[in-house]
Amino acid sequence: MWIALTESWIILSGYTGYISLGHAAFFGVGAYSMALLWKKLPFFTIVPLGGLSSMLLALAIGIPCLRIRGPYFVILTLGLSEFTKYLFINWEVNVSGTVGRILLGAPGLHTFYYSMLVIAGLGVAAAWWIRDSRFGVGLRSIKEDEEAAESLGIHTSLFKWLAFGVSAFFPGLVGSVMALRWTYIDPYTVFNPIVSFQIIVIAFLGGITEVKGPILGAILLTLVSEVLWAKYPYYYMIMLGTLLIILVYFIPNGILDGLKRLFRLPSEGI
Amino acid sequence: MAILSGKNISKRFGGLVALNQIDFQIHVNEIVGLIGPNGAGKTTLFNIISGMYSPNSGQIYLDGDDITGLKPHQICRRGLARTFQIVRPFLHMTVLENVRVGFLFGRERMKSTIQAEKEALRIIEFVGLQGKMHLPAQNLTLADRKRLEVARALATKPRVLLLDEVLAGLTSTEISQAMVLIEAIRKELDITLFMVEHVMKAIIGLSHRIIVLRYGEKIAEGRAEEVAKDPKVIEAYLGKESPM
Repeated sequence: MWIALTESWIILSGYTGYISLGHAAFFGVGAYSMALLWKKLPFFTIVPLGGLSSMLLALAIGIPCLRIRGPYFVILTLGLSEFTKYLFINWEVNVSGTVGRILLGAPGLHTFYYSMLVIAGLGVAAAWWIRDSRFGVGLRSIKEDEEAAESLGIHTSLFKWLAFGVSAFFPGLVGSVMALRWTYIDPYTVFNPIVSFQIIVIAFLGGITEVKGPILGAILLTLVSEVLWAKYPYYYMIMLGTLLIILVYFIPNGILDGLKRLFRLPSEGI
Repeated sequence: MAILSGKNISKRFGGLVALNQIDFQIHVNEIVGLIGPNGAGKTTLFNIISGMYSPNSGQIYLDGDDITGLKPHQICRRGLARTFQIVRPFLHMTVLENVRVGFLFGRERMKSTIQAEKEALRIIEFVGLQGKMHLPAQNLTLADRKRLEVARALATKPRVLLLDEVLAGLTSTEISQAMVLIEAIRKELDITLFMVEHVMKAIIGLSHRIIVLRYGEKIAEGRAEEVAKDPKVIEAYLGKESPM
């Protein structure tokens, strides 16, 4: 799950340098797509629809968002993600008069496991394929110098917009699968900004510009937090936080880069 | 025949008039120098031509088409490339990757990154960076970064190239080498050049014509020798002779 989420984040934020704190919104929209369509359509139809509806949301909010840069972009994505959350809360309370949604008749664990594996695989494949494609070269040029990129014929606003859309697709898929896995959802849990934060933590842990970064980061963070949680249930958050501070301080480009420097391996060209 | 021309270009930044009703014409396969003291509006004019600013009044024509108000990427695709005064190569990409960007998105719009790479090799050789192809741009010296910036602009296959102080900060040997390169760009690649430059040796040696700006006004235009003798130009650079 985290691999797919983080790979999708890499496509936008790792490649273009536009750090998004709003991926929870796309996750949530995916989850609600499942909640609304469950029992009306088959599982394997709803999941792609969840991805598509996230993508549509991203393309809509991308128009104003991508006009600004740097910290303003980060804050705006966080703000819009929270805004989406409150829209859903409002809708639950005022329109349907409920708090959340219960999803009954969920398929077995195997279905979840394999569908998540497929989504993660797709995420990795997309990030890998885009990285060295013409599209990816354009995105990475934007990160390096947006004005220079524009002067070389790159339609920068179009590229950023498309990257935002593609990047939102995967959290939508993940969200719709997870909604069914959790069997009960409400806006507070599916639009939880912690989702966005954790994506970033994983990305920085693994390295934000490489496809393998998120895989490594996700596995590592999940393992470390499980172990710490089991052994030190009271202090594990503190320990995890400290560990992250240390990591970011000493190896800001992620573990992969840190290992490379440690063993003095020449960094590979692309 | 004029390949690039501007009519009545004005640009104001708040109360400051950066350019006031400038007209200019650049002919096919010419090298035209643009000089003037600091703050004369040279870079502003380049930014307007390349679409980064829009003028308050006036039109820019490229090969007869009005390109005023087009986005920089559209102007690039119509065959006008530029370099920046403060060099802006993509520092974390290699020389080859930098140049490849121009082929992928410039006038050629190549679909295949591999084909773009092949073409990029030729340009890299042309500017003389073949030995440094796989180095990240951040490891290059200033002179090499400037070559790279020129190579990247050439990779968009321009008909007109704007050079914004490509010689500034180079040693005199490096300047001579760069002058050879600029002449080769005109002769071998058939590209028209419009260049802002402070290095007088180069501007006089290379330019067929020179345009002089001062406080946003065009004060002189003509062949190098004529311009250098123009009293208004001398005054702009050295001040008026004081009546002692």
